Amino acid sequence: MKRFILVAVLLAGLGLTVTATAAPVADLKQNSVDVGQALQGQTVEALFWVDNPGDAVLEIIKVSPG
Amino acid sequence: MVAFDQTIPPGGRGKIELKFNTAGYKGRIRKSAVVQTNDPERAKFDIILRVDVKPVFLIKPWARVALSTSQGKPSKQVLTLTNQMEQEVELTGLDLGTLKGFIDAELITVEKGRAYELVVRTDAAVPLTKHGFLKMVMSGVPVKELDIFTTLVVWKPPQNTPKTVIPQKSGS
Repeated sequence: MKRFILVAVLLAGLGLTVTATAAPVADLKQNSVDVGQALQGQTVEALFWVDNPGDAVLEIIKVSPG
Repeated sequence: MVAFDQTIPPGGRGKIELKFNTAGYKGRIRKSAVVQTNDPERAKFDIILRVDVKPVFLIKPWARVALSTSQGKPSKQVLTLTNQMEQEVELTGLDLGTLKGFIDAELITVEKGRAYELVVRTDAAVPLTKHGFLKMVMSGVPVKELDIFTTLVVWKPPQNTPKTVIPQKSGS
């Protein structure tokens, strides 16, 4: 504790401020979707919603089907 | 097939769309995709699509054609197709696609809208290997096409040539 206060006092004395780096956050509400029944040959689709509660732009770089 | 929002602003929401064509599949199917993001805590994660695929026709003995024979020995395969829907589903039009000229196929109506037979033949005139789809048109269901994967293999008959010749004594 004493050491932390000493460091803080030294930083303040030097006029330095500590800032956190902005980061994006990928918050996926649901990672699995069951589309139910489909006839063979039909194309089915599922939507996945991704929220970004972070403070930087979230980039979806790539989606690779398995 | 996938489509997705490439960037999502802070406080925003984006979507990832996963599409899957169920042709050739049946039963409980699970398809997944790996998502890569610039989130340092969640750089990679999986999304999963689940679907229960029901074939319109029950096809016996298998839902594919495999003709394999030696040159000069004609071969045929018969598939029976039974409608599994409550309503009638008609099969019309048979397209041989890339297999045209290599096989003959005939669609026989056993009971209109209910049961059909698909007869596929090869005269095995020349050695070859071909793959393709036989396509039939369906009416009465949202899916308009029924594809049957087909393999044709015609091989050269083996040449029996003696490897060693044993001379026979004559006269005694």
